[in-house]
Amino acid sequence: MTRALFELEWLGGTTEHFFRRSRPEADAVPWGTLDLSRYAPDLLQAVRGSWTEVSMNEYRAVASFAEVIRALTDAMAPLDMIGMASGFLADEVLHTELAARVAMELGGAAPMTVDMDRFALRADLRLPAKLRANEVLLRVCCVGEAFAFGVGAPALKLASHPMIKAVSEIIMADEARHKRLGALYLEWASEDWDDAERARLSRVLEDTMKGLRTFWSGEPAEVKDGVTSRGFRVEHLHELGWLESARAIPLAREVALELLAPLEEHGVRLGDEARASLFG
Amino acid sequence: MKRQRKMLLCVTATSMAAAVGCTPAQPVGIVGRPDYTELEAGSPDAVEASAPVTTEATPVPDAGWVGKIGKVAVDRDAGRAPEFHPDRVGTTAIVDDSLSPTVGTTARVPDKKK
Repeated sequence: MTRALFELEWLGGTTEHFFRRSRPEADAVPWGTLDLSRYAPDLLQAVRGSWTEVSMNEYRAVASFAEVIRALTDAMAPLDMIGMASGFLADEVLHTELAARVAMELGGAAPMTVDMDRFALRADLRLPAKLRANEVLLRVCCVGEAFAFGVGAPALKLASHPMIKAVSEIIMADEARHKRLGALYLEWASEDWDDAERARLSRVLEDTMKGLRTFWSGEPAEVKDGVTSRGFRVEHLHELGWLESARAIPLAREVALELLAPLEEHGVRLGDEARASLFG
Repeated sequence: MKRQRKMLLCVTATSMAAAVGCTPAQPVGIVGRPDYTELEAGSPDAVEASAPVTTEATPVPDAGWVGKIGKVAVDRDAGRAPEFHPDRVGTTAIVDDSLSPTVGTTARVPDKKK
């Protein structure tokens, strides 16, 4: 296992030119407009960590969508579906860049280490191609992207700083399409599923949801007179793209429960015990 | 000559100092660009710690604990673009893991302040 600081290099020049040609949105963000003197040092530290994590998660999504595209291709999914997913790779690269630049505007990356050998989802090559695709699409699009969109959209509505708002709008517009891919895949693939595959995918769902449980398992902290228990002004949290736990924890729980409904229509569901363990 | 890396995202003196509970004596800038100038150990831009971050940091009379977190390069004219060089640092010091669950376990301080 080799852990390294999560930092990102930028080459510039030709590579930047061609990347910008496909995804020019970053140039329209009003960079350099944050007045850091408005915020408490502890808040800045926390939010730097938050945006560094966003960048890391988006970078992980680059790898995940590479796996999605490979899985769809191996499963001989409809070519236009593969084409739709292919565009998501550049989306996730752009999101990684945007979140990284926000973190730098806030003063730099929080020092976090990653193990790139275990960083992102890898399909289990022992499974047949279609089963691999079912699992990868379930984990990445039906759960991961659906959850990210669900919890991110309300934060976007509250974002009041123009730079943060512009970044969030770009990311959320793309995440909505990414989530849509999961639903389209379910429609296409699920008619071939038998009971054994539905049961297997239900176990995959439970495993994926366990990875998200931390978002709704904590106790929401009280907010008094617009100030959180850590002494942060809620108004400042929203400006910087954060939600207070009193809002974030119930929201995460609600979004997690909501994303289960369309899966149940296709026979992928949590058992009573799993549901109680996750949401009890 | 080795190509100088441009960093889109990097740990800076500001972010490392905050993570280990210090306060940078002087804020550093943002946005990765070339034209870095390396700071000298003990320069005014070195990190001034409000509390000992490591048993290996250097105590300085009347100044508390002073260390420099890594070697930080800053474009002084533009006031931006700090770069952290994990492979070009002085003494490695272990930081208390309890400071943050997500913080790396090492920070670097320079050789003894002269």
